[in-house]
Amino acid sequence: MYAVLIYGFPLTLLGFEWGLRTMLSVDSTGFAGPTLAAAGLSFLMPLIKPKQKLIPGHDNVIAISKAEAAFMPFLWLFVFAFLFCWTWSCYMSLVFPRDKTLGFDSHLVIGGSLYSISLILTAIKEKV
Amino acid sequence: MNELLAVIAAGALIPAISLIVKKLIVDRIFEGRESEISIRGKDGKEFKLLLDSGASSEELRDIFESEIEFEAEVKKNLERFIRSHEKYDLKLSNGKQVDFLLFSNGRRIGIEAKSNADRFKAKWISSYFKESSGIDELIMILDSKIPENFLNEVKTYDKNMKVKFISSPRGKELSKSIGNVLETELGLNKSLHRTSR
Repeated sequence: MYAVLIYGFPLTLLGFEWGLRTMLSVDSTGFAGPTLAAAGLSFLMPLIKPKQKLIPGHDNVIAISKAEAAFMPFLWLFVFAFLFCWTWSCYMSLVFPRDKTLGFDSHLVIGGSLYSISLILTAIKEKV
Repeated sequence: MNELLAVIAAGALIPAISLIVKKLIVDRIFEGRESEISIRGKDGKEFKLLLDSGASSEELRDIFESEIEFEAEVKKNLERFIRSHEKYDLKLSNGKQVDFLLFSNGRRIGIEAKSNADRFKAKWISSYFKESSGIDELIMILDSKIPENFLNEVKTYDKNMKVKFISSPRGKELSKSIGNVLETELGLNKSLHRTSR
């Protein structure tokens, strides 16, 4: 259920945006990209917290994965990169709202890419 | 209608790309991989082990508990050995990196008990000497047979032959093996010269 909500969020968001645009006759397209970028960034933030494996029945024992410790600096780099990309997405949305990349609005491509990368990083974090 | 289709396409493409990358790249890279886990107890003691990627907390607990149990078993046997050799002034203490430290006539012998040799990296042995400076030698007591590739790997890190092994599959004849090796290493009983390597 959790996975469905997470993976289905872009479709839900874009669906709501389309509904708003259709029913209220307002152009809300420009919000989609930055919103997806912000959602991707917000997924990334909890990953920065080191995941300490719990050993049932041994409350005073801490287990840490070495691979995860090595992965942390990369996550920080992604957080900073995502912040700049969110700014870039906002800029594209405000200044070049009709600019297209691969047939989609550029700000949407940026936001969607960030969301997609954050899901991939979440999957990696679960493995390390 | 076209706008709705574009919305659906964009909304579906984002998770689809993530799922494809996850299934085809991330899952394959981590399939069968082992990760190094560092476990630190309340007493500050740390030990490392290899754990399958994606292993559950219960699996980690089982491995951890088997290590603790074997360590306790080794400690019991070491204390018994010391009691039976009272006249030699042997002293045993818990180590920070290595499980136990045995002191005898100014010599410090590190003793490490491992119940899962296949979850241990040979290169970690060198860290015992770096971190626990002053250890003259290390005795590794394994609750299993010693894998040949593990022994060969140890040789590459143990140039000065400071590591000795005691193999006691499922604790079989543990007391006798510990006694034999320690008597030889400490020169307590010259008639029993036998190393385990």
